[in-house]
Amino acid sequence: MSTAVPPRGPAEDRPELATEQFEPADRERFDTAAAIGLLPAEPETAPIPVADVDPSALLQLRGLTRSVRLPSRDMLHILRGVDLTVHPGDHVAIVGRSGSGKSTLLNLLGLIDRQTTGDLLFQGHEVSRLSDRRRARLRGASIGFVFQQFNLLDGRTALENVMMPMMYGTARQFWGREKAAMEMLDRVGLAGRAHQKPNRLSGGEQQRVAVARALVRRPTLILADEPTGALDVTTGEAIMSLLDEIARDSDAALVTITHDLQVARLSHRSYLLDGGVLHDVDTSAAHSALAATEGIRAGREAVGA
Amino acid sequence: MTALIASLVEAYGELRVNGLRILLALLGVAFSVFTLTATLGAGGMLGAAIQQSNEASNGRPAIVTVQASDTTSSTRAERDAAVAETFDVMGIEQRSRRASLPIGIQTLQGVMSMQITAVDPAYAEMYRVRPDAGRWLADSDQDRLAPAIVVNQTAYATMGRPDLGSEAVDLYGGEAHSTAIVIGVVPDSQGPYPMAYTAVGSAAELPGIDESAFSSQEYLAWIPPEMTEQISNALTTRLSSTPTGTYNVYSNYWPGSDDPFRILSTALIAIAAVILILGAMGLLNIALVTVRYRVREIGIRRSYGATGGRIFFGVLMESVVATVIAGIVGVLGAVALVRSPMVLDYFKGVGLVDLPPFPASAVITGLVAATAVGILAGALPALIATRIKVIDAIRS
Repeated sequence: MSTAVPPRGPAEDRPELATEQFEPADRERFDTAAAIGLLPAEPETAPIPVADVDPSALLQLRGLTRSVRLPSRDMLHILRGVDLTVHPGDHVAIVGRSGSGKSTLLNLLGLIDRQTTGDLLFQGHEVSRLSDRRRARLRGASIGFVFQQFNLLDGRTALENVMMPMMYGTARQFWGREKAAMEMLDRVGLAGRAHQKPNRLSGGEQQRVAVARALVRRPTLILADEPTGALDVTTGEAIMSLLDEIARDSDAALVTITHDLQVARLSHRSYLLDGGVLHDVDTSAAHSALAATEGIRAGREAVGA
Repeated sequence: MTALIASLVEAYGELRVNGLRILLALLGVAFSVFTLTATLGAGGMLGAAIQQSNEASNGRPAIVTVQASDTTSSTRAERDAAVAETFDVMGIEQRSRRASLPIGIQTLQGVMSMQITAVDPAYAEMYRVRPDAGRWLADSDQDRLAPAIVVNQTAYATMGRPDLGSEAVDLYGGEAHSTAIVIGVVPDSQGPYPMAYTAVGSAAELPGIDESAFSSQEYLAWIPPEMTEQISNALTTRLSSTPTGTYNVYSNYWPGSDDPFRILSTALIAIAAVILILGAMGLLNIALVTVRYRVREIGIRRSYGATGGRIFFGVLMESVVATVIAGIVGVLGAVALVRSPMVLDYFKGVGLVDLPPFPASAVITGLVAATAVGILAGALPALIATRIKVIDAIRS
């Protein structure tokens, strides 16, 4: 069972998380979320007690914060205390509007960035203590990325793109890279186009190549960042069901970061990232929240209307 | 090991994708390596040519010359025996007698005077004389009644190109006349003057030659250069007073005077180095711009597990693989140029007899320079590449 930490008490009981001043915009966002009743309790910043470590969890975030110092020397608190537990095979959607900290959260989940405070356990290990090199290796071995803009390497064929992650793998993966990549392309239905370069492929095909690339090293976690953002509705749905299917087959967890509620509805659980905090919501509530904070126009955009 | 191979595979793939752009950047490097290698190679070959040319007139390092100061109190045979015995005692095996004798040859335009050098067969090796056609003198030629002669190209042409080894040619000395057989033709190492060699043993058979003609005969010994002084001194001591008279000893070897082309080759290398530096700067410039274009690609690679070290090494290797390929092209071009018939003819013209191999040091210097340029031009972009922020790069 994995859920976001439920609200624990009234807002005034929360310990002050940030010592520096809040940006007015942050405060406003924070208050908006509180006003519509979605605000959880102030997150934990103390390390996860041993008893709370979920040994079966693939990913466990507790009180995760990320702050950056602005040129004005003020602190900008992007994530204010994120709690999230993801198990193998989970399909989790994180919805949020632009500027809500989705990218920052993605960086942390993808072991690209380090949190300011809080815990991020990957397969039971605190990853912020690992060296950059170990994190890169862990990322390569365990995490597959799918990006909004596909991000295939230009000038290389679909096959070469899918082989690329294997270049950073074990000796066995390196030498077997072509076979594994062909199998994966076959799995996404593009075996016949293996030798085409990305500019000869349609958007949907490119994203399928990207899916094959994300999965070729058999990751335990797939991070999809707006995977349907550059695709039409029908193609987007096809990609999502492909991702879902492949993730389920390989028992990998799928974390989709999106502002598209249609996409979010395909997941087992959905969260709204707002004000730097993750809210456990159903997608219709998230829709309301987005509509309330961004106005009707933004809301329309969010549901893909 | 796999990481190294993977990096090379990756670098090769990168070069393949960006072939044309990198090719243009590499032209400068290939050209400078070409210049560097060709300069060093041609310099080396030219040095060998000059050295061989010197050796043809002065002998190879080191030749010790022994000459009798007084030829009246003993016969030539006695002096030959005395010097030969001394050489034997000292273990000198490569040796030759040498006497210059005047002779007249029959030409199409009448009789023409020519200098003929009477030597022993070992002379060819000591003075690097190689027949272009026919053969050099052999021991058996000492006993011939019709002397065997080896002529240079000018003399051979002047004589009307007689058949080698069979056709008799007429020789004149004063009023006397006899015939000789031309057995070989050697290059004009001393210039376009008719010259000939014959065996000392049969030289007395030449027309108009008597014992007095041999008064300036020399005895030559080929010795290791580093022992020149020691052997010269020993010979001087042993030959200062013999029953056959006294002898003077000279040597052709002056230590430290061996590279007349040092200044020229240093200047050429300096020019090549400047070209190489300019090539490296051009490459660096392009590599720096390229890395900006590759921000997104590097971000993608990092998101798939490429470590900072791997990215650094990858970008560096691309540069190195590219410049090494350019270096190989430059070196091959330089070898092809220096070994081309046109250039070789030039070297032969200035005295090259034995074609030396293309200097290995020039090839190695060219390849090392290419690799060094690759490392220098690759290191800075590689460092920049490792500092690229992954997600910013992907979202750019």
